[in-house]
Amino acid sequence: MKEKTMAARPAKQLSARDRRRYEDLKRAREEQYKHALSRLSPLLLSVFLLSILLLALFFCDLSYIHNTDVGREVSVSFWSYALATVSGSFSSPAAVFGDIAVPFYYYAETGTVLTGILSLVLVIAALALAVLSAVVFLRRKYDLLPLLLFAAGVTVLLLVGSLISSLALNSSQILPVYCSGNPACSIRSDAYFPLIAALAVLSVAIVAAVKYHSAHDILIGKRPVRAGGAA
Amino acid sequence: MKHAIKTMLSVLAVLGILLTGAGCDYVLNERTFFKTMTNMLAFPSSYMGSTIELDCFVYELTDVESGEEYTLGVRKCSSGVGCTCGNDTIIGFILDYDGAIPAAKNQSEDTNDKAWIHIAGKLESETPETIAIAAYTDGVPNGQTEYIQMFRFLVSSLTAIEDYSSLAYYVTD
Repeated sequence: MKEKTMAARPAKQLSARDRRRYEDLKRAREEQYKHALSRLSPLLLSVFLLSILLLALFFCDLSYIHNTDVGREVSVSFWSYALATVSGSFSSPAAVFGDIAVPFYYYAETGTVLTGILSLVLVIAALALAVLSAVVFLRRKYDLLPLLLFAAGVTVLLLVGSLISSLALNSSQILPVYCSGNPACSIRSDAYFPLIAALAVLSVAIVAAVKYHSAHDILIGKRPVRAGGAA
Repeated sequence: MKHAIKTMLSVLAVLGILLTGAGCDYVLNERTFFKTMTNMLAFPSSYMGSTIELDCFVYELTDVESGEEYTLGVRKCSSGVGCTCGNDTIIGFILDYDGAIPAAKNQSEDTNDKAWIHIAGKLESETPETIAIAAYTDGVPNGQTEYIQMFRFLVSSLTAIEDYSSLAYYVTD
């Protein structure tokens, strides 16, 4: 007898055999649901660990001046950009802000501030992503998975935006003045590393969300299950 | 969630404020000398009112155009915003001191054996003075004039450094 038909009939109309079968199917659904959820745990743990890796990769340089003769001359990391933005310390020589004051802010004020704003929002999004992934993994709050996906997507977009903003500094006054127009100099970025990590977070989060959706379909009866010992 | 975001932003703001070192004094060492001096040329108003301490050597300079004589506290450098890339020059302050300043020693030679001093004081003005000096190419005057900018430094204390083995007369970024 089809599961839906059984579920549609009022319980008192079911025979004892039907009732038993209905209970068996319900139990089977719940077991398969739990089994499906258990396979989510490694994925959710991976999302959490990758988001922590992402935060660590923000110590990479979002902007640096590369001189083919001497290598990396001056640089500013994601964290430095974010801290400078939140404190308004674009002109400070403090080590925590990297070389943001000179030459970046001094010769390209608008571009540097824009990159700083993007970095700050990115850091906040990545922190939220890490917190969300921890909550989903530890507390099994699977209904937060759509929000987690959103945070991951936003993080990727902000990373791309930060990278573009940083590389756009190549067309500012930094190279003509700081490097005296030396063709060996260019502004580069290490943003590719955190971008790869963010894409990995997003990919794994998508897989986790799809698997949870499948598991949920089992629970609500959208997907058929086979009960053990069914006639 | 809103509360968590507010808390996070507050922590970032407080951290940022603490890290700005707003209104704090500056002690220039081997690691920070060049970067701070370069920053000072770019953002002098940030340093007005702050006490600055540094080790430097005495350098006596004459403006080749006006003939004015200056006693400076400097280090040598060759790259960055304050200096012309590829050319050696000096970066530091014009010393304004009531007491006696040691005479310069080996000021242009490539040796660390110079008249080293430890000074503390404040910027007199956020507008640097421009000094015309003879330009050199590979250590030889090339007949051209170069202009360097130096802040006038009101020295509150000055001591001669006897052991300068840990100091470098040449600084880089």
